[in-house]
This record gives sequence, structure tokens and C-alpha cells, in this order.
Amino acid sequence: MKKSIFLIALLSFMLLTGCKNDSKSDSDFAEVQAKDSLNTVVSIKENPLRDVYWGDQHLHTAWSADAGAAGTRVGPEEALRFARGEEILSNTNKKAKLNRPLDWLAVTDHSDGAGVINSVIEGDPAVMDDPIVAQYHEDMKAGGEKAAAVMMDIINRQSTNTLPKVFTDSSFLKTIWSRNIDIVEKYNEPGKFTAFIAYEWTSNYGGGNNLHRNVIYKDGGEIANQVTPMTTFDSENPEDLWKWMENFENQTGGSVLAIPHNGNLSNGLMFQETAFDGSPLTAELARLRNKYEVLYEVTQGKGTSETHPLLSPNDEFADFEIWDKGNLVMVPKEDKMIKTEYAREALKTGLRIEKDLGVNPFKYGLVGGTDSHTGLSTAEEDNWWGKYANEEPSPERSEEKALDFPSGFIMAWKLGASGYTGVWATSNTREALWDAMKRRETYASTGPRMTVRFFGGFDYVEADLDDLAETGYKKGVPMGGDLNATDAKAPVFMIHALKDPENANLDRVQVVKGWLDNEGKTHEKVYNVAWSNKDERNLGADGNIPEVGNTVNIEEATWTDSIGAKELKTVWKDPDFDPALKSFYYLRVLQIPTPRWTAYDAKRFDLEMEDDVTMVIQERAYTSPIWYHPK
Amino acid sequence: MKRIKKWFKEPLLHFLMLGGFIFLVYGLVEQKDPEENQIIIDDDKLAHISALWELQWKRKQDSQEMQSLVEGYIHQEILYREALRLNLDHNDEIVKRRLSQKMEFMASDITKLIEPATEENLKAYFETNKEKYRIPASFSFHQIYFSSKNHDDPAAFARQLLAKNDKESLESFRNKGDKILIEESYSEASMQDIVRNLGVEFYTSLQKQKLNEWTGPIQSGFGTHLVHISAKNSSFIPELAEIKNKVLRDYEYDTELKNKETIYKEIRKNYEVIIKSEALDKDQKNELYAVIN
Repeated sequence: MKKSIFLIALLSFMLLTGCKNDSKSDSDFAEVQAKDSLNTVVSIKENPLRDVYWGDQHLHTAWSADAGAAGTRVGPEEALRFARGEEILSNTNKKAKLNRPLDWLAVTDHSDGAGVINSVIEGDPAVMDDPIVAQYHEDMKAGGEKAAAVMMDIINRQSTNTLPKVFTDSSFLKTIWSRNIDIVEKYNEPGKFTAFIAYEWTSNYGGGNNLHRNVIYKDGGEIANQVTPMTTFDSENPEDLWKWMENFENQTGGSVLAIPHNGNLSNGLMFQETAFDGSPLTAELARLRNKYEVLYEVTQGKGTSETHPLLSPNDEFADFEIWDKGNLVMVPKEDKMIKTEYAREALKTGLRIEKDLGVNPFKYGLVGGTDSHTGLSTAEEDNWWGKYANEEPSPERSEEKALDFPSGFIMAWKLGASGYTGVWATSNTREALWDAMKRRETYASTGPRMTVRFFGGFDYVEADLDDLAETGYKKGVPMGGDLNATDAKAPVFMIHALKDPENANLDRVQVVKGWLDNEGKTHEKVYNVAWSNKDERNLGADGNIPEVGNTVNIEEATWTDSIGAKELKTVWKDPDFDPALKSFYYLRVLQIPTPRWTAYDAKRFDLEMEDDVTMVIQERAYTSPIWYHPK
Repeated sequence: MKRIKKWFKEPLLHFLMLGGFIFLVYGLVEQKDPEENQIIIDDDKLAHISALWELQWKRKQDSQEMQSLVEGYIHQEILYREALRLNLDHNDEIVKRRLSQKMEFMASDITKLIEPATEENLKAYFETNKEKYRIPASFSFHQIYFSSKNHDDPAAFARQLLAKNDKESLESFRNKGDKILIEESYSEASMQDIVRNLGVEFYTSLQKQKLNEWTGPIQSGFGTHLVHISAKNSSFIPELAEIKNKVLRDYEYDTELKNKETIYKEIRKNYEVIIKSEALDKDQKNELYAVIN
């Protein structure tokens, strides 16, 4: 088997002229200058106060086997072009284009299969140094008898073990992984558009229990290519993935992070409090998870996993795009599984584990992703290209089944046109964006690109809002950060949300707080801290405010900005603060109601939707938490 | 020489040659295990198993790891052979997908061989596709914002302001707008920057405004603005040298697509597709024929 692979590899090499575009590393940035793929120095805008860059850390293309089988033809190259704003042909041959380009993208095709040694490879000019190889090359170019002689010579040398060394060097083998990297490298343009090298490790342990993780690389191909991805053929245990990541970093000097998603389809396994095999969690495993899993994908096509009505009965907005019927293959879900599937509960549990083990395994910042299997990263309700190729815009798509197994099904109208991630970074480069992800300075959106700032400190005052970013960083920490108490002072938060200029007004901003009490029990509370139409909406004794209203005309799939606010801001101090308790705080920003993609479909295709189909949505953003650590 | 060159540029021929070649060599060198029911673990196999591991972990495995890798290999090999015996590889969507993907990879590799990105090719490509590389206008400007929260008719208010003040004085309008957390001044902002901060409508309107005076009002998703543009870089097409990597990328992409298509079409000629469905009526069949042929 090995012999034939090398031979085939050799053959295709010989058919190449060696005019390969040798992409250069772009890892050696100066502060404001970087080299692009042609080694030209380009200057890069740097903003120490950071800008928000929008992208998708979770997209599959035709190179994912399940996507390919479902009819996806858009490959990674087209996917990157699409994300950059170009018009491409969709999987059903329709013209597709984003209303606004993205700033960055991680193509995360399933690693299962990506590391398979491919029988066809490209030539590497370096191998031409071998005189035998150089001669092969010439002879092959000449063709005819000479080419045939080459073939015989190879066979002969193979059997006598005298093949040129380059052919027995495993690094010479070209995998789909390397091909993927080559493409991503071509589209990464520091300062303009960031293309991350990435893959998805797709563990469906025990039959459809979703333990998937996206692995995002900070570095370029020269690092990523040194090691092939972890697959679930190797292991379905996430602990082994973290060990692989640690080994990758030690061996290559590179950096990776992993983003789990769809705890809602894990039937209780995503945030279980034990080790994978059911034994007690060790500090070492908690450390690995804490180190490599800094972000959690809280919203995507297959539901939103912030919290569940059973976990947060007092949260009036908890029942949002919930998928709780079963796991990925519809093995039915029991209520007790829900406790270890949702982000907010995991953040709370993390505080408790941290108290016992000294390290928080669930210290997650929040991000969004589409998880589209179409190569088209879309999260716009009025321009949503579906989750699978058969759900590209058509009159039938809302009536199809998104998941269909003997034990149950989920209708395609339940799929969400969600989500994207906003990253607060100093510039649009792999390094800057990845570093921002690593420090959790990110937030998830169900689609709209609202600008959300969130700072925690002890000394903010109202006037600081005028100089938000500067004082924000100077006097405290941004979203994703840690507040370490030095005395009993209550934390103060600076909060600012600006609407997406291409989307609807904002309804309100909420602070979600979780904490651990002295008895080791966890709690949560949602505070309304800033809201629109204040002259008509008063904070009740129960902490609630009246609904913002609804301007959606479902039939016409329209809304107006006659309610809501362009901008919401406040400086907020926790009124129930106890300096002795571990806690976290994150923001939830709600838009006013707008038409859901189902309403746009109904209008576009002139459809009558069933009564149970959700037609109106309150889009939202979730920031990474800020953690408070008592003295 | 000329004939060779022409041959050299024929993608299908290359493709078929390469395919045939691989088939031939594969047949010649494929060593069958002596007995069908034997799995031979020789040094080559051990080296192969070991190499795969090293690709993933970038270190040598210890002996225990090696044992479990060999065990895994045997496990896979047995099930693989049984699967082949049962013809499970046939009509498997994933297997089909992978193999057709390999064919496509071959086609793209051949492209690099026969239509390399020479200076000449790139130049020609750039000339034909120049418009694609146009960089949209960028602006240096100030904006002030009028909120509907503070004004019943923000646009009317903005117009009044324009009429009452010295339009050409940048300073006379500053601090006259409402407070909102949008940057007031932009320097050489690209379309991408402006659209990200202020939206598409704002950028479109900006292009129609006069330079060096306060103008407007123009609208964005936030509301009403007055703007003062101090500099505009009109849209332009850069020199090839400046955007060579982009052109190279597009050239490779387009030629690859073109050649893949050519190769596929040639192969396709060898096949006749017959629609035998009883579920489809005649019109539907004809419609389908029209699409696939």
C-alpha cells in the first residue's frame, strides 16, 4: 500500500513543472507593517483602542463529507471568496452574495478524512535538488519512450529500495489538509481580510451526542502543516483533542484554540462535571479544558444554547430558538440532560468546580457561528442560504425536515439564520484576531452587527462614557476579562450598545449575573440596565420592563424603526453585590422585533406557513463574561 | 517541438495519461498479500503506520502506542477487506465523493502544469479582467449626527444649520451634532471601513457630496448626518505589480475552473445519460435532459 502511494505521488510530481506559488509566511509582522503572500510589505491599520471585526468561526464546504453528500458543491476557495463579498454560484446554481462582506472567516471542514493521504500531490521545487528526480522531470517532459523508461526505473528502484529519499519522506505526502491550507493562505490578506486555518473535530460519541469542536490556528501554513489534524477515528474523547492541541503547541511552537458548540444536541455530555469516562474530574483535565477551550459557540443554525426555560424560569427571554427534542440523531432528550448542555449553567457550574479544583474548566467567552454546510456563511434573515444545500432559498425549504430519524425529526423552519462573532482586535490580522479570541474579547450575535462595548472595573463614573474605550481599558477590563478584588468594593460596569446601521433599533441591554453562594449553590439573575422608549417604559418592582412593542408586518416582511433606540448606554453597579462570592457578568443586547427568515420566505415565495412556524424574531448579542474573583 | 507544445497544452490528454499511468503503475507494484486471509505486517507497513502517526503528533510513538496503532491498523484492515468483499464500497456516497474529489484534484494539478502563471499570462489576464480590481473611492471626512430623539425633523434642522453657518468652515459645525458613539472624523477611509461604521446608504450618498464644505443632510441607519469631505480618492485600478498576488490567485482559480470544466466535458462525451424514470412525465424528462446535456 505504501509503495503505491509513493509511486503515485511521484508520478504526479513528475508531471508538474515546478512553478508552484510558494506562499510565504506572514507570521513576522511588525507592529504596523506586515508582509503579504508575495512578500511585499503592507502597512496595517492598528488601533490600540480596538475595532470590532465580524466573522464566522464555523463554516463547512463541499470538502466536508456530510456536506458533499448533501449536494454541496461550494468548496473552500469559493467559500472564502463569498465571505469577502464576491458573488458566487450557490450549490443550486443561483447567484449568491452577502449584503456586506465579512472581515474574517474560519473554514472548519470536518477533520475526519482531511488527513487522508491523497494520491495526487504537487511537486516541491526542493526535491529537484536530487539528480535522479531532476532527470525524471526532464524525461517526463520529453514524453513518449523516455517517460515510459522513467516508469520502469521507478518500479525497479522501488523493488531494490533505491528510490530517491524524497519519496520515502512522509512530509512529502500531500494531504487534503495541506491543500486546504494552501487555499486559506491565498485568501489571507493582513489588514483587509483574515482567513484562519481551522478544522472541526466532529465527535458524535455514543451515537449522535454532539461534542464537536472547531480548532482555530493562530499561525500560517508553515506551522499548521507540520501536523495533521486530530480526527474522531483517532479518538472521540475531547480530552484527547486537548492533549493533541498541547502536543501540537509543544512540537511546533504554534498556537491553537478550540470552540465547542451545540451542547443542546449533546444529550447532557457537553458540560458534564466528570471526566469523559465518568471518573471524577481531575485538576489536570480542568486545566487542559481551561487552557484550550476559551470560547463557546452560543448561537448557530441548529439552535441557540445560551440558556433554557427549564434552567432559567425567571428569564422572560430564555425561550429563544431552542432545540431540545434530542441529540444530533434524535435520540430523545430527558429533562435532566438539559442542565449540562447550556452556556449560562456551565458558566455557573464552572465557578463551583473552580472552588473545588482551583481551576475553572468552563471559563468560556461567547461566540456565534453559522455551521452552514453550504460554503455560504450567511446569518441575515433576508439573505439566508440555509444550513444544507437542499435548504437554499426555495418555496419548499421551510416544510422540509432539518433532522429526520426514526426516533424523531426537526422541521427545517426551526433552523436559525444565525450567527456571527464580533471580535475586538487592534487590527484585522490572524495574530490580532486570534489573540483577542484567546483573551475572550468577543461577542456572539444571532446575525446583526451591533457594536457592543462592555468594561468592568471598580472606579467607572457616568462621565467616563464620553471617553468609553480609552477610560474603559485604562480603569478596568473589557469583556472576557477578570476582576480581582482588592477590597470589598462592588464592581462597576460601563455598557454601550450601538445598533447595526443596516439593521433594526435596539430594545434593551441586560446584565446576566451568575454566582456561587457560601453553601456551594449557584444562582443567576437578569438585570435590565438600559432600554429604549424610557418615557413609556418604567422598571417595575419585579425588575421587569414592558415589552418594546412590535412593528413587524409579517405579510410584507417589513418593520420600522419607530420604536427602539439607536444607542443604549449606562454605567451600572451591581445592587446585590456580595464581595465574598465568586461571580460573572455578561451582557445580552436585544433588538426590536423583526421578520424572521420564514417571514421573508413566505413573502418571497407567496407561501402560507403553518400556525406553529415562528415568523418574528428578536435578534440579540451575547458578550463574553467578566469574572469577579473575591479577595 | 511545436507539436509537443500543443500536446502539452491539451488538458484532457494529460488527464487521461496521468490517470492511465497511475492505474498501470498501481497494478504493477501493488503487492498482494500471499494469502487473502493473511495480513502481513512487514517493515514497510510498520513504517507507514508510524509515519501516519508522526504526521499527527510530530514525534516518535513509544512502544505501547505503536502496539495500539498496529492493533488499530489490523482492525481497520480486516473490516476494510470484509467491506470490499461485500461490495460495500459501491454506491457509498462518501466513497464516491472522495474519489471524484481526487479526480478533480488531479485536474487542478494538471492546470498548474500546462498553464503556469507566467508574467505573460498574468498580464493578459489582468488586462481582460481589469475592472475586477477597481478600488472604490475612499474619503477623508467629518460627520455630525442628528438624532430623532432630539429633533422632530432632524433633516430640516440640519438644513437650517447649513443655511445659518459658514459651510466652508470645518470648525463652525463641530459640536453642533448630537452625541452618539460614532467616529466624527475619518482619514482616507475605504469603502469597507465606511460601510462597516455607517452602512451602505451612507457610503452611496457620500459619493455625491461636494468637497471642502459641509453638505447634506444624508441618511444612515442611525439617522441624519451632515458631512464635510476634505479629500476624495476616486476609484482607480491599481498597477498589476501592486496587486500581483491577487491577480495570481484569480488567474489560478479561473484557469483551474476552466480546465476542470474542459476535462469533465471531454470525459462526459464518453457517457450517455438515459433518464428512465416513471415518476417523471415527458415534459419533466425533456426539461431535465435540457439541463444535463
